[in-house]
Amino acid sequence: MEEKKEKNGFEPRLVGILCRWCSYQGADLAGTSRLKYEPNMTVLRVPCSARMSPLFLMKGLTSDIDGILFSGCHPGDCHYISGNMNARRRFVIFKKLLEFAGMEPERIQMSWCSASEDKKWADIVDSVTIEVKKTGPNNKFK
Amino acid sequence: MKIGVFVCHCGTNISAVIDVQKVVNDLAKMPGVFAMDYKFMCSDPGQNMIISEIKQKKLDAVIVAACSPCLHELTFRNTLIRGGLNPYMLEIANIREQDSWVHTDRDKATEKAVRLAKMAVAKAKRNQPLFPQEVSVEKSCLVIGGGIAGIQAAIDISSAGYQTVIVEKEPSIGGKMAMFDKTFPTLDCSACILTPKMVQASQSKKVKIYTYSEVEEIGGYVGNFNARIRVKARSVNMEKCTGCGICWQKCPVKVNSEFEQNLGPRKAVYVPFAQAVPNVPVIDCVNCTYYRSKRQNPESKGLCRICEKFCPAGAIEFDQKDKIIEEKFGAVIVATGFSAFDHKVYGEYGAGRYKDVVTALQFERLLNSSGPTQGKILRPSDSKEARTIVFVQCVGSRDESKGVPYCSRVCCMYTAKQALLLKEHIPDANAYVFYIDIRAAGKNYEEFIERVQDEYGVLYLRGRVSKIYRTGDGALLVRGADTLSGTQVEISADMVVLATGLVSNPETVKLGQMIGIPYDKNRFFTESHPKLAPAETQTAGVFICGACQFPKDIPDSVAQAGAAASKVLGLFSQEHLMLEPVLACVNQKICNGCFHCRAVCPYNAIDEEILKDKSVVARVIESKCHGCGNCISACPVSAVDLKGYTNEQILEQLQSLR
Amino acid sequence: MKELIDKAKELLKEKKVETVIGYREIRGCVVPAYVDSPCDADCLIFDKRCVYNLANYLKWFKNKNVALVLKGCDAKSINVWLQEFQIKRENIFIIGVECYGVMNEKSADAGLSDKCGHCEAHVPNIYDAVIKHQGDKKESVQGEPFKDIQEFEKLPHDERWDFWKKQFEKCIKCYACREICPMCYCKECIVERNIPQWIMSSPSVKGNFEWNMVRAFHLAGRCVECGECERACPVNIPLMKLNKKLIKEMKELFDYSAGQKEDVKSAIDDFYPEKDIKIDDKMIR
Repeated sequence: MEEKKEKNGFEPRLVGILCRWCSYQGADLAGTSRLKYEPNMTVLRVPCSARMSPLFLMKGLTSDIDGILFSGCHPGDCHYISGNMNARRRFVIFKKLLEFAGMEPERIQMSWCSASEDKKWADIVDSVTIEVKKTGPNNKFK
Repeated sequence: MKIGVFVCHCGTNISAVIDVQKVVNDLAKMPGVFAMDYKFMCSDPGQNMIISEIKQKKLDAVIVAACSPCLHELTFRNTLIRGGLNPYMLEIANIREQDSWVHTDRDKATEKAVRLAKMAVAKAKRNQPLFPQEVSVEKSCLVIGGGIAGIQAAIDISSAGYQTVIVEKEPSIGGKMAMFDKTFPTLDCSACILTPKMVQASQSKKVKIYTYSEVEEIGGYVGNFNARIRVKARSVNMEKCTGCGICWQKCPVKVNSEFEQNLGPRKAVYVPFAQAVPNVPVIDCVNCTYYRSKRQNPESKGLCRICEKFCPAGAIEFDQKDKIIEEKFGAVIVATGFSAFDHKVYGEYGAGRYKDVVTALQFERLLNSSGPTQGKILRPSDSKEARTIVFVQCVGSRDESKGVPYCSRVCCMYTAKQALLLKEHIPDANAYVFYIDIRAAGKNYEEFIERVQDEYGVLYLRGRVSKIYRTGDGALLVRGADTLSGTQVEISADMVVLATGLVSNPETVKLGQMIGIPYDKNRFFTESHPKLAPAETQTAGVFICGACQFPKDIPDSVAQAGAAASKVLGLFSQEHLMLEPVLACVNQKICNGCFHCRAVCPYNAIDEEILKDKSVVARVIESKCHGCGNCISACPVSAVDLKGYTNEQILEQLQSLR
Repeated sequence: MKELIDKAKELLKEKKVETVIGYREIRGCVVPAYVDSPCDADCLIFDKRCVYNLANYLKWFKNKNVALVLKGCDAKSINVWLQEFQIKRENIFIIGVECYGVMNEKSADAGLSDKCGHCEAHVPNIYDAVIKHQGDKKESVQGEPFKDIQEFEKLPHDERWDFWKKQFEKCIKCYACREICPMCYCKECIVERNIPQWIMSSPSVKGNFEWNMVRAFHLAGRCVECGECERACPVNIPLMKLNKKLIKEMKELFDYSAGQKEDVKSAIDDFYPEKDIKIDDKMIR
């Protein structure tokens, strides 16, 4: 296994935390539409982007995950009225802090993806994967 | 804790890409985990297998690695109940929609499936049994939109004995269907089949109709919605008015009628059409002389007031104010319909400059015997009879550059109907139809098109119209391609009818955000499942029907309205509802009472509680909590947590990927 | 000084407060003083050496009537406490002191403390009485207040990481930064809990990183720049650099400064749909 990985180059381990109303359904729609995208991201479902405590970003990175993505409904479309508005502020502030402390910005990502944006979801996963591949493995806490 | 992992092949949907056996083997290596696979987990034998394993192996939690939880989470929760487990001990690993269907590399997809399943195991280890909360159901339904879909839904619900409220923004119910002349393919007169429904709704004791009204706010949750409805001032007393019509006969102000698609006049005090329900006029404050004079000089007595003078019932009330009504509902049906595509973006069709290039809805009014021309097909420019008419299909539809990408579904049929009606009105008239494809999927639809072509001699030309010119004699020169014969054609026409597509209502976004139901990229409301739940939405207790979901014809709208109504009745047949137990809860021992949670809660679900030691801490009002988890992220001490999605569970999930 | 002592005596005599918390001098060192009776009030002083933020002592006087001697920076903490419903305004009497800088405790050359360099709060923004400053009112240094932060931001991320890694390696998890911080008033700090374990308890790279990130983040929109954490740190981690970064971001992104008013929503709980949309282009896909 290890050998194979070496040969094929670096395969980042990515986590996507998705809100169940928009982004998770967008990701499902990408499946229904049989779009193809990179298999590196493992998805975790939560009710709302507001549930995504920014500390998850830190915990992900200190757990040696190479990149972590938050994704929720577009501003204004939140199933819980304004959850994504609060989530946005928390995310942005914490991302700035982590970057200031030396984390690569590519590892800490957020997106808005609606239930109808299957194509966008596939693009997000692909581009996050490519960016993190370029950035390299997260060895800071090993 | 013993956890069972059940990996589904889904026929070959999963197993074609994922090595199911490897997933089973890898998972079975985890301590305390039992794993097995089956061809169709959701089938009866599949479910029975899970049940027997729960009992035999004494499982505490179950992972089903299969399709998206949006599809079968409920199915498998019920399986757990039958197996004697709490339904919330279930976790789903989505290895179909988010794995086998989107990846091709077998090794990588299998590896991902293992990761997804392990993540689910990590979460399930921290699962706690959860118990749904019981709430009462307010047995009254709000129907937003009084078109044919809304009316049908209201009739269906009220005839089962439940209170229904229709809120319609226009002065009368009836919607777009009231404007049509005849309906395809049977050629029933539209008004003849619609008006009895309108009357039935208005006479039902169980249906309340608020016309000229809008829903301003909706809060609450399934079984207990609170709506604020603004009933706009009509300036006419609904109780006193007898609908005699003297006011609009006497009114001196003439403006273009919206109902007649600007082809005919109406007065400043008007009912939109003769069969309006309620048959009570409204005063159009923008154009009414009295209101205009009042706006210019608020001190004056106001000019005109003729309607007031002549009204035998004394029903005119110039000083009426908007009324706000707050009501509780158990369910909401959204039936807000569609708008016609605005063809002004098409410069080649004259961008709305040519009077004789009309929309299909305008032509519908010209055909109608109660329309502005009493059913004579007269050109709007000079009122001459139109003998040659060119119909242009797909105006806006199937055009990603200028219009919308989708097919509006009804234009082929209504164009054929309009061409047929033209031929019936004027047998020696010439009708040409430019089309891309003819889509006539429906009972007796194809036969209808054939009748129009063969019996009535309507000439169908496959191709697009490239330009419409105006010639000196007032005629329109239509230039287009006939791709079947490969020639350019030019037709000198008296009139051109544009088969404008159906687009979403401009208020869709605002309404969707207010109620919390999603809409797609074309701004039509999204159903909960495109096949299995076409009238439901993601929000429990909110249903959709008619063209607000997607363009559809009358029979489909009526069918979907019936479906929505039956879902509402299913809801109302329950005395109590079980609500999702995914709720926030406060550990009051460590709560600081800083109330960052209250500051972010969108539902005001956080209250203060004073403990014995006099410290003030937070408390969750469970009936108000929707379980979004905003408070959890805001709490600095993690004193609040979300049942079913606890901090610990998510951290375990993150760390399972190491 | 007399003004201050008189005010304290008056408050204690009239039993308006049970305790006055101020500064006193013992053997040449300035220390906090709890004064319970008017006759003890003569010991109170205020000068350049009064570095500490006495608002921190409210942790032990939550439901009592106390008077506090507070500088402009310190008084901002009261606003945050009020914003977070930790105290009742009527329970505390704020003796504000006009201040034009306190000394730098850590360097011998008696210059002003770093935090005073760009001070805009010479007079507290919340008080019940103000003690006027005597002597020359030297204005603070003008110029870009976040110059050091901006320069650090320009470094490549691996250099930033190396810097912080070295700094955090020093951390012995004594939590002095937490104890001294008036904003860290939690009954039970999340670092002391293992369900959920947000912060690894060992003083490893990982555990120290987690602790310092969480500490800084929990001060977003709350840190009033009193500088006490950095002063208290026994291993000299530049904690204010992290805090100042967040102060800068709160200001730039949300136009918010902590502790200005008592009755506003903290920017981290708040949002402005139209303004916040600007964030998206760069930060959110």
